Amino acid sequence: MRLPKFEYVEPKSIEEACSILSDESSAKILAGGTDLLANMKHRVEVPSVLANIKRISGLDFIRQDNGAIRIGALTPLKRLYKTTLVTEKVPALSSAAASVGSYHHQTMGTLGGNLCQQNRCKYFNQSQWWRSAREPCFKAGGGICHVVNKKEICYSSYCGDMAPILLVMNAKVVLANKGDSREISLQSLFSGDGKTPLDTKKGEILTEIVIPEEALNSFSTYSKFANRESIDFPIVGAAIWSSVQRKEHRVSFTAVDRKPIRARNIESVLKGRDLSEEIVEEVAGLASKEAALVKSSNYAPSYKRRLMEGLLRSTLKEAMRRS
Amino acid sequence: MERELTVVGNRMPMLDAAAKAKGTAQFIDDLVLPGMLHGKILRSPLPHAKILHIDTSKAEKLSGVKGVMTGTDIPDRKYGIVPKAKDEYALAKTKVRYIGDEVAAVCAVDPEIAEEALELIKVDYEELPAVFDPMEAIKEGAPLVHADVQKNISASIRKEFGDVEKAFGESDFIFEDTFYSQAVNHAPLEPHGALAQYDPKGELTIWSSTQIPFFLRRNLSTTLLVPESKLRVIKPKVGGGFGQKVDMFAKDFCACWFAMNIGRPVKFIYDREEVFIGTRQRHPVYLSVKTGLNKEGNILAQQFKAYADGGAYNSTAPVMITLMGFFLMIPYKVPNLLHEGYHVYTNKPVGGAMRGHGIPQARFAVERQLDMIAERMDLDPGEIRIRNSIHAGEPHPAKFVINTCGFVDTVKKAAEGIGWAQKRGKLPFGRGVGMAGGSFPSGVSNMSHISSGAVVQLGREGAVNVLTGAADIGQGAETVIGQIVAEELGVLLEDVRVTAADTGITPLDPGTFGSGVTVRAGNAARLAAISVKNKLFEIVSEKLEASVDDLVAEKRKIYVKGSPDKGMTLSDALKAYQYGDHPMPIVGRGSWMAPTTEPTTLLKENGNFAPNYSFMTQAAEVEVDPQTGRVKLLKMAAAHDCGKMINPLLVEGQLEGSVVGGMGQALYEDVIVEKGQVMNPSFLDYGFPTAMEMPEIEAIEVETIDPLGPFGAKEAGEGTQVSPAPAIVNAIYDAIGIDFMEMPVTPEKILKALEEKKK
Ligand SMILES: Cc1cc2nc3c(=O)[nH]c(=O)nc-3n(C[C@H](O)[C@H](O)[C@H](O)COP(=O)(O)OP(=O)(O)OC[C@H]3O[C@@H](n4cnc5c(N)ncnc54)[C@H](O)[C@@H]3O)c2cc1C
Ligand code: SF4
Repeated sequence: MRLPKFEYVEPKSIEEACSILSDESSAKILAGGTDLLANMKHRVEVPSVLANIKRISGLDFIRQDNGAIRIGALTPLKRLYKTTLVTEKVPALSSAAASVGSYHHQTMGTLGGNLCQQNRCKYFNQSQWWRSAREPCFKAGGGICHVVNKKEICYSSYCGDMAPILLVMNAKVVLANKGDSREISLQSLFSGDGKTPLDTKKGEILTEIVIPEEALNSFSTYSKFANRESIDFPIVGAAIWSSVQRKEHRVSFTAVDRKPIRARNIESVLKGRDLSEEIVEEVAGLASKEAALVKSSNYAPSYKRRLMEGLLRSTLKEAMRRS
Repeated sequence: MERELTVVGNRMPMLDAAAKAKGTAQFIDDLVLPGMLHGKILRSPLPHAKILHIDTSKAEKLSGVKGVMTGTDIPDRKYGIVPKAKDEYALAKTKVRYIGDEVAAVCAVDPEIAEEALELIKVDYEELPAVFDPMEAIKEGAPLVHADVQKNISASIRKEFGDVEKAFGESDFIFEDTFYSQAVNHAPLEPHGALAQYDPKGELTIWSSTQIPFFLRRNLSTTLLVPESKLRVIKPKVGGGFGQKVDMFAKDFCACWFAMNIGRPVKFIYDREEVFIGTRQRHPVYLSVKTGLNKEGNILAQQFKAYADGGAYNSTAPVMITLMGFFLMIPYKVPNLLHEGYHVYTNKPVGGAMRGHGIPQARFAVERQLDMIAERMDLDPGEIRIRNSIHAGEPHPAKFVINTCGFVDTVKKAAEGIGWAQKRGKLPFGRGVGMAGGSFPSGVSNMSHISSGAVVQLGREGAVNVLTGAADIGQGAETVIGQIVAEELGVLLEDVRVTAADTGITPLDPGTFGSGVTVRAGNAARLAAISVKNKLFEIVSEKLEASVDDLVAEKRKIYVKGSPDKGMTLSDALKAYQYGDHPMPIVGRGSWMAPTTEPTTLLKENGNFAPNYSFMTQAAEVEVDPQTGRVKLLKMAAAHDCGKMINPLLVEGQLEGSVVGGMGQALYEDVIVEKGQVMNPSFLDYGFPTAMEMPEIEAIEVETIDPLGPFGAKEAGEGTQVSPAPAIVNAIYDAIGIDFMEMPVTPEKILKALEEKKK
C-alpha cells in the first residue's frame, strides 16, 4: 500500500505551522507519523498538505517547573522511559510509554501524536479497496455507520495508551494558535465524537503536556491488556491514581468508548474511603457501566466488559498493596 | 556406509544464511530489469456477482499506464494445481466469486500510477446471492458458487478400510464428538511476487516466488498457450511459502501476459492485504469423529466426517480431503476406518495447501478426542497413545509399508521433556500439560509424475556443481542437498555449489510440497553423486591397486577402507583421472521416485502411500490466567522421528517454526470473515504470535535409520506442524478442566467458559 499524493512542508516555527493549518483546509500536522501515515495509506485521511513539525525546535523537552512536570509534544515515547525525571517521579507514565506498539513506534512516535491519534474502528482502519465493499460510513464521509446505525453518530473508539494515566493525574495540555496559546485540561481535549475526536480550534497545535505537582506523590499505575505482548493497541487499558491521605481514587479507561474516559461514578463511590477488598469488589462490578461499548473492534463488548472489571480489580488491589 | 559420516548429521548453517542476514540475498522485490513496469490487480469488492461490463478507457488514458487487461482478453483456459479440479481464471471472465477475486490488471511506469489506474476502472456488476457457510452451501436451493457444481460440493471422498459397522458392534465403548478447526493464513514474510520478461525470439522468462517452478511452468503454458519449451521459470530466494505458494496466481499470469504483449518486463508484488485475502488459507473444517474401543483402550473403529470450507475455488481440494482421510491411519492402528470428506464452495477466500495440508485439522479432532476418551476411560493420555501405536514391520490395515517407526519413543521422550509424570493432573489450577501425536508421509509414492532429477559435476580443482530442481523456499533444501552430495563425494560442504529451481537449467522436480524434498530430491542428488564417485573410483582403484568396493572418499581424500595411509588426495585423484586421458568434468546424473507397486490412485485399492513416514509427539505446558483468560505457552517439548537428521540445526528450525504455527492456530490466529469480507487482513489485526510469545522449546531427537531415505532420512517439515496445536489445547484442559472443541482458544472464550463453569 502506498501513500497518496500530498504537499510536504517544514514550517520553521509554531506560528508558521499554525498558519498552514488555518490556511489549508485539509492540512495536517506530521509528528512521528506512525498513526497518520498508516491512515493515509488506507486513504481514510488524505491531507493536501503535511506540515512536519519535527524541524521546529523547542517542542522536545522534559523539565520540572514550579513543581509541575512539563513535557514537549514532540518528545518521543522512548524518552519517557529513558529519562530519570520521568522514571522517578511518574513511573506509571514511563511504563505506559513502554507499552505503546513496538519499540519502533516508541522511537518514532511522540507524546503529542499519541494523544492526538485517530479513533479506531474495524470498518475504518482498512484499505480503500476493502472499504469499497461497503457503503462509506460517517467517519469516512458517507451516510451510514456499520456498527450502530441509528443517529448520525460515529462510535469509533479511542485506543491511545498515554491518555489514561495522564487523565487520572489531571494533566493539562497547552494548545498554541498563531501568536496565542491556551491551557486546558487533557479531558477537554477529547470531544467524544468519533468522527472528530479532538475538540480543538482550527489552526491549533498541541505544544505541551503539564502534569500538576499535586499528582506526583501518590500511587498511580497503568495496566494494558492487549492480544500480544508487543505491537497491539489495548483491547482495554485502565489507569488509576490513588491518594491515601486525601482518600481520593481516580480511575480511567481507554479503548472502551469514543474518548478516553474518567470513571466518575466509580470515583464518587470511592471518594472519602480507604481501599479494601470489599470496596474493590463493590466497584469492580460498576466498571463496565462507565463506558458505551459497541462492536467497533473484533473483540466483543461482553469481553471488554469482563476485562474492564478485571483490570479495575487488579489495579485497585495493586494500589492497596503499594500505597 | 561403513565409515563415520562427516558432513551429513552436522549442525550447519544454511548455505545462504549469511547473505540473508546481510540483506544481500535476492528476492523478487530486489530484481530490477531495464524498462521494467509495475503491475497491480483490481479485485472484486463483492462476494458474488455477474460482471456486466468493464470500462477501462479512463485507466488506459492515464499518463504512465502501459497496459490494462481484463478477463475477456485472456484465453478460455482454466487452471488449477490439480489437473482434474481446474476451475479458475487468472482474471474472472463472467462472474466474481469472492471479495478479492481478480477482475482486471494494469501495468504502469511506477506502482503509484498503477494503483491510481485501478481506481479509474469502472466495473458494472449484477450482485448475486452469496453463501458463506459450508453447512448452508450444501443445502438444497443454496446459491451455487460454480453453476455446474451441485450443492457446492466440488470434491468428495468416501473411503473405508476394513468393516467399520461390524467393528463398532464389537466395541465396548463408543464416543462421538464434533470439532471445528478455523481458517488461518500462512503469512509468509515475503509477499507473493512475479517478474516476467519476453524476448523477441518468443521466449518467456518468469521469476516467481513459487514453491513449484515446474508445475507453474505447466500451468502457465496451458493458460497462456505458450509451449513449455519457450517458458522458463526461475525461483529466486523465496521468503517462506508454507504451501501458500504452490498455486499459480494472477500475478504470474498477468506479468507474463503483459510482458508478451507490451514487450517490456513487468513486475507484480502483492501487498499484505492481498496475501491475506487473495491467495490461500488453511481450510476451515467441521469435523466429527466416532471412535469405538475395547475395554483395554485399543481403537477398533473410527468414523470420520469432514466438511471443509473451500472458499470460492478448488486449489488442491481433492488432494486435501484425501490426505485428511488417509493419514488417519497413522500413527495409530485403526483396523477399521470410514472417512467421508467434502470440499464445499463458499463465497469466501480460497483454501489451499498449508503445512500439513488437511492433516492438522484431522489431527486436532483425533488428538483432542483421544484425550477426552482417556479421561472417560480413566487412562493416561500417554498410555492410550502408546497402546494404539502402529509398529514397523507389522502388517498395516491400509497396506502402508512402515519400515521404521519411533512413535512410542517420541511419546515417552516428549513426556519426559515436559515432566509428564510429575505434572499431569498434579499442577495447581491454571497450570497444565498436554500432548499430541502425529505422523506424516515423506512425499508420496503413488503418483508416477512425482519424481526428481539431479546432475552433479566434479571439476578439476575438486569443485562440485549440483543442479537440482528442488525449490528452497527458506527451509534449507539446497543446504541439505549440498550436504548429501558432499558426504557422498567425500568433500566439504564449502566445495559444493548448488544451482537450483530454474526450469531452463535444472532437472525436473515437482517442487516443495508433501514434505518430500529431502527424500526425493536428496536421493536423486545422492545417486548423481554416486555415479560421479564410481567413475573416479575406477581410476583410483587402479592406482591404489585396491578394489573399488574397498575405497572410501572422505574430507577431500580417497583411501582404502581400514588403512587411511593407503590413499591419495582428491586433487591427486582428479589429476590422475585427467592425465589418464579421461574426459573432464566428471558428470553424474540421478533420477529418483519412490518405489511403487502400481502408479495409480489409492482410492480404489489399498497400498503404500509414501517412501517413508515420520513420527512425532509434542508436549506442551501452559499457564492460564483466570482473570484475563490469557494462555501463556510456557514450554514445548517436541520429539520427532525424522529418520537420520541430515542437519539437526535445520530440523530444530522446523520444530521451532511448528511451535509458532501451532501456537498461532491454537491460541491467536483466525481469519475473521463477515459477510465474505476478511476483517483482519493485516499483521496488526491478524495478530499472530511474535518473538515475545515464544515459549521454551526443547527439541528432542528420536533417530531411526530408514532404508529408503538418503542416509536414512525422513521428513521433518510439514509433519512437525500436526501436533503442537492439539497438544496446547489438551494442556488447557489439564490446566482448567475445560474441553475446547474449536480453535482458536482465545482469552475471550476462556473467560466465558470459566464463567459458565462456575454457574
Ligand atoms: C502497528 C501499530 C501499532 C500501534 N500500537 C499502538 C499502541 O499500542 N498504543 C498506542 O497508543 N498507539 C499505537 N499506535 C499508534 C501510534 O503509533 C502512536 O499513537 C504514536 O504515539 C503516535 O505518535 P506520532 O508522533 O507517530 O503521531 P502522528 O502519526 O505523527 O500523528 C497522529 C495524529 O496526531 C496529530 N498530531 C500529532 N502531533 C500533534 C500536535 N503536536 N498537535 C496537534 N496534532 C498533532 C497528527 O496530525 C495526526 O492526526 C500504533 C500504530 C501502529 C501503526
Ligand atoms: S463507528 Fe460507524 S461511522 Fe464510525 S468508523 Fe465505525 S463504521 Fe464508521
